[in-house]
Amino acid sequence: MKQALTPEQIKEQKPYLDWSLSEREYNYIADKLLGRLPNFTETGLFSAMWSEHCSYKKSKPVLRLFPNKNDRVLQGPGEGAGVVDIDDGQAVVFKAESHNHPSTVEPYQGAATGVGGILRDIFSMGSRPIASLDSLHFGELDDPRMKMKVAGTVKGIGDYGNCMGIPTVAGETTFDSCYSGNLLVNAMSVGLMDQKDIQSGTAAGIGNAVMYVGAKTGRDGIHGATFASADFSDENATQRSAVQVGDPFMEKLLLEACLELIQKHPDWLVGIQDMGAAGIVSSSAEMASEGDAGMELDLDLVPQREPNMSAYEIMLSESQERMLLCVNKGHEDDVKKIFDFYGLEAVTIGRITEGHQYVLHHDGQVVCDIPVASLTDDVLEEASEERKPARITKAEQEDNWQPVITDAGATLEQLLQQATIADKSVFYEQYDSMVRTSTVVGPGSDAGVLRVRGTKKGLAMTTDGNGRFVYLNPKVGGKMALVEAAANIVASGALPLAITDCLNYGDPNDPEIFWELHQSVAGMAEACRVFDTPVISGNVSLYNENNGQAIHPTPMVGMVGLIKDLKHLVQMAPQEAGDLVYLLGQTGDDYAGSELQKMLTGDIAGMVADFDLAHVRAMMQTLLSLMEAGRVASAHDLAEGGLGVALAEMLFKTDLGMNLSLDLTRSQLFSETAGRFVVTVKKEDAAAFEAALGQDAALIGEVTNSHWLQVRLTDGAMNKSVAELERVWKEAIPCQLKSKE
Amino acid sequence: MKIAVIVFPGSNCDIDLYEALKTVCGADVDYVDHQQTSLAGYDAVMLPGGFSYGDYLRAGAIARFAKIMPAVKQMADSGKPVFGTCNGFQILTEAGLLPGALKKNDSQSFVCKTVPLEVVNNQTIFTSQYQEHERISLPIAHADGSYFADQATLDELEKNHQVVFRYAEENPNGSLNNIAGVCNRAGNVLGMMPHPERAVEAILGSTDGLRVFKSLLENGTVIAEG
Repeated sequence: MKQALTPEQIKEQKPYLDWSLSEREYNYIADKLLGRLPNFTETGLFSAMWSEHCSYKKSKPVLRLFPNKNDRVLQGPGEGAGVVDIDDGQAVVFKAESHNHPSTVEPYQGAATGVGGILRDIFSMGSRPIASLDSLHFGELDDPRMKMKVAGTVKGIGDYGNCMGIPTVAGETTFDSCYSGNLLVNAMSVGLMDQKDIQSGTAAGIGNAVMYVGAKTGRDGIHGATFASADFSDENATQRSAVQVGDPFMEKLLLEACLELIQKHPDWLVGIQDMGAAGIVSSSAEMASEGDAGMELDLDLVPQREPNMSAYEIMLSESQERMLLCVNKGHEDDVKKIFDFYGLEAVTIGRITEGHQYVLHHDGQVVCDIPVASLTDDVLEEASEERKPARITKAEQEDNWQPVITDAGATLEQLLQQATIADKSVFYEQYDSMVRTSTVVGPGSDAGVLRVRGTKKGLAMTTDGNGRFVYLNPKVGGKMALVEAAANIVASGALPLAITDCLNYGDPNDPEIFWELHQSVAGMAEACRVFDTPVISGNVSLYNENNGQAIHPTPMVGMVGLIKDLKHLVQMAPQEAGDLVYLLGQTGDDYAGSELQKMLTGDIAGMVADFDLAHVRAMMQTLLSLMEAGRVASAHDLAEGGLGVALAEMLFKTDLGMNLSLDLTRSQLFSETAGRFVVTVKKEDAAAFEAALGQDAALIGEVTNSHWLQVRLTDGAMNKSVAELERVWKEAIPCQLKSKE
Repeated sequence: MKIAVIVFPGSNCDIDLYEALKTVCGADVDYVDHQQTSLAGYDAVMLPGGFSYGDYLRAGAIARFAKIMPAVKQMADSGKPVFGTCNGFQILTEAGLLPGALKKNDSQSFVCKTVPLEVVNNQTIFTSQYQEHERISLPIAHADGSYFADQATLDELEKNHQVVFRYAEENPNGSLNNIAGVCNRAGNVLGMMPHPERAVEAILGSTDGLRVFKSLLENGTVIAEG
């Protein structure tokens, strides 16, 4: 009966250690912040608000490396989502969030509520969500349990997004045994809005109402935030009570009600925030902190799904589909009427008060009376030890692995069947990618593209993260994650605007893991500055481990780009036979961390080579200006499986082929040097194209009518039927899912 | 003619229908919420796709009790055009305005993709601008789209030319007789699982669905004025 614990018993028995609050933190709270012992409820609130998930206490020093401003950024990190100017008084709003821990325990609900949570972040800004993306990293598909987890995750994402009527337009799905015990499920949402409607998660104005809207509060997801800030092990494998349950229908109603309030009655509303991680406590304390206000709440007024909930449970519940509003005094009934129409609860649970105290009443008693800032601003940052892992020092001193390939065609066929490369339509066809009729390019391309109704503009969006490169060389891998995202955006004819991220790592108390975090963020930050793509939102997910085995460090970059005029949209399918084919960027012997290395050796090893960010950026800018001048017929960026795979992907779903002559070896056909593209160009545009790109563009051949991929290499040749390549690429994942092994 | 697009709680293709009619076809169209009880002044009514009432209980099963439904039924009975796509089709079958039912897809999964269809009956007010047996492609996006009816009903539908659209190459959901869309005996109520409203603009990849709305506007105007 933990509830019965007195402040003195808490001090003695230290139950907070189980809630991931350290003794040093507890003592600091008691001695320095409160000057007394915190009671049971207060201790629970501190443990949630001071968790890494809510406070970023470990990652903050590293996150400061990121740039988060430029001329277009209207709102950077700190609110529900970041906001970027896209001209004409409009703005794009986006954020990504991880739901790794819940999805590992219960993939269906974990993934579904991941989507639900990020959508609320978008509409809490006053923006209508227009698209969803995901970044999924699973264990290998030869494990029957993993097949179930994949199926559950995909169904969870689909059921939530489909019911909400938000198209899922792009994403990535990779497979590696490092994610077997700890899946990565990162969801990103993109919204569109008029700049005049931008909202803030703030609470201010003495006497103004704090209103609770949406679903009732139950006992689900209690301590989800601290759960997300601890490792998995077999001993605590069953943690289902920490997983929330989603109701997308409820959220659809909540979305419509909130947007009606924000867009039609902005004068009634002071601020609005999603109740996400750590539920009522985090939303209310953060809003009060933002508004520099005091707040008093009566928990008996909180709509509750179950009887006899304690103050601690009410405050920490992570029940879904709830929002907290600060409403101008006198408009409470007006707001209630809007929510009534949608059949939703809207209850005044408290008021803004003078001073800066955060006071909670429950069952006739004051159960919490502490300074607002003690929850939100006074968190002790933790200096972390770092140490360069021995594997990296060793790799720096050794020669990299070099592949031996005798039959390039057979290797290509084999690569196309690797789950990370193979066709993912069996997954993404379970997502409605077209609802709201603005999807110009759906899943299965470099980036998803949506039109902006009533304008010529388009928005391109992508998620990218490759843990293998980051594992082998965190700094360069961090740069590559950003460059890969930018390449996907530029390949669609869009200008990269800004990024959101999910930083997925292992236990930061391990100095080697903290070093990976620090180095990779430094690499990403450097690339963000070079590409002028600030970080406007994101989240950190640490402690992604199972039985002490950490995932590859996997920072996910979610990027949005602006297409000024959709008539310049470029797609990856070549347009016409006779068009010229160019390879952009230099190809090196880059096999460390490549899909080829994984396939041929069963593992990854070696040192990932650094590259010239400024040069890659300049090349992309030139390519984009050529696209905007209408001189590019099709484009595709090179990623997993290198040039060979990219060429095949371009020809799939067409009747065309290519006849190419490359100054590359069989192995180099599959090298994964960063920052490269394949581009097709009409003959009449060739002179202008070559003049603009100079040494960066190599003419490698022509598009043909034959539907064969014919490639001459310096040490051989490859001649493959595209239809046959497409067949093996398409059948690989369905075949693995059905196999009984 | 004036067209109503009904918005149920959980509808989410209402904007798609509205924009297809308003922006692409220039029609006079309004959103009408589910709590209204009259459709006076409207010449046609459209039930959109989505997840009305969360698809809880069964897709379309709760929507049929919405306050607006008697007015929809009245429109159908008086011979005015009534159209439902996806969840709208499910609602029309649940409300008894169309025969049959929509079951869970054979795959047990939601499926979103563009599929080939055959226009089986081009003699309806919704399909008169298509050729008979014309092949078109339209997007589908549903989890419960497997058309089912007993054999006698199926025979009746076939005999009376009430099958309007059929899946042409693959059957994506297990529908009997490959049925993708059916009309009532009088021909003024059409329900279909595919989404013609998602295929009305070249920039989104296809205009194969446009003639559903053009046909309606052409014929509906005649009905409205007649």
